[in-house]
Amino acid sequence: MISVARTAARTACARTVCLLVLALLLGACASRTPLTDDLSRHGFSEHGSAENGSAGPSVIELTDVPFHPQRRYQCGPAALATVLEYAGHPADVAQLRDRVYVPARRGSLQPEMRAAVRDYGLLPLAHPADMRMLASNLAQGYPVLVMQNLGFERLPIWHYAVVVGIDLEAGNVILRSGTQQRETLSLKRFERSWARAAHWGMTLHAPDAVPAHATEQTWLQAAAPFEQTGSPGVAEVAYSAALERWPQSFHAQMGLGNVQYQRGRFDDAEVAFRRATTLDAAHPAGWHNLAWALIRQQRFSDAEAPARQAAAMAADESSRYRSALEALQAQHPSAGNE
Amino acid sequence: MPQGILRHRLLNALLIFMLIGVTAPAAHAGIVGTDYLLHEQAVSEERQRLATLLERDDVQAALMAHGVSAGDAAERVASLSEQELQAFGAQMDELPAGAGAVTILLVLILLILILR
Repeated sequence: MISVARTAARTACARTVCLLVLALLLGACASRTPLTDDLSRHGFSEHGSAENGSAGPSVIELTDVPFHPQRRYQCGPAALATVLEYAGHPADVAQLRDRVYVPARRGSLQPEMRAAVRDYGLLPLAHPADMRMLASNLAQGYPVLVMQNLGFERLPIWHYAVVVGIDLEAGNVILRSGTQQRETLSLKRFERSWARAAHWGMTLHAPDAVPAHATEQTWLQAAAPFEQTGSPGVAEVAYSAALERWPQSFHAQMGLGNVQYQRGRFDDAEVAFRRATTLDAAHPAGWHNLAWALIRQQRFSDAEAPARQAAAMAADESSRYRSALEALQAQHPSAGNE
Repeated sequence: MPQGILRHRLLNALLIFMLIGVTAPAAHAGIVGTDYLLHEQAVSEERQRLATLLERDDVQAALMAHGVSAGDAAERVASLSEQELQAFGAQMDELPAGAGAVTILLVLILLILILR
């Protein structure tokens, strides 16, 4: 009986897998280049507008982006030097190679690429999988460093290049790539190579200038690592800029307070965390960090109320959101008793 | 007696000092970092995305047709670990933009069968 049920389940499972494969194939038939279709349909018009691109320009090219030809397998450092120089930070390719090139992998890993950008005080902002956004970034003067897979899904050939232009009339993407100063690829071929690399892309930004394509999440994710890498000043500027763009952002407000706390400005941090608790009173982190900012100022009795709030919202006994209350209880054993 | 209180106070001051030092030796001492908060947010958004998907009428109807109750599916989504959520999120991102209920559903059912 049991074995029958199990066989039935297995058959059902196999059928599901078959259906899944079929569905994916059907999906693939629909269009393998949806981003190109989207771009061709709308042209360079802004996101969300319904007009055809006929009125606008059909070619964007940042002709003054420099070119650093790559040496063997070292497309990463070369592409990085290209975007860094255009962002006003001339970089030595050899130096970048030491920073990002991993000989054993004959290439550079994305986290290393982002870290190298941070060394120059710039935010490496993740680029969405969107070709109209690609065009709009070029129009605003941001070349886009992209990853491509020039091989196959199963046999990948990873490659970094810099998109510097799009020519809708000819249907081409223009890149600084490898040893080619001005490589042109058809939109569709480019899209497929980009898609095989999970549409990985990034643009470089000064911490005080939030670009149009940044979302609250991508911007803050690009800013947060500066807290740990010894440049909290950059993070503070980036969080402040985020709050100008998204005044209601709880996470930007928390980030600002965290940086100030980290720099020993506990009174500033207190103000920041207080505001965070007004933005999201249901999140324990605001209350928790506020309590610690007060503890650091030796204002133990003021810290008690927010510490209690945080502890009350803590998920379980071991939660970190109980630590402020525990610290206070260690000081005044009566603090914990109602 | 007053001396005893003083000693008590001093001991407590020392204790809290140690606690601050012990819980986190870095400049971060005590507070919850921004990177942790952002990670937490990303995970909960992924869970929300899945839960919203399950609430769609067409998805619920299709689930029923395959003998999976919507309540069961929702329960499983709630109990997915971070890694499983991420794996599922990656699957969903691979699907064509306007994927219909059937496609989404097949991924869902596959996921549920694997995790069963």
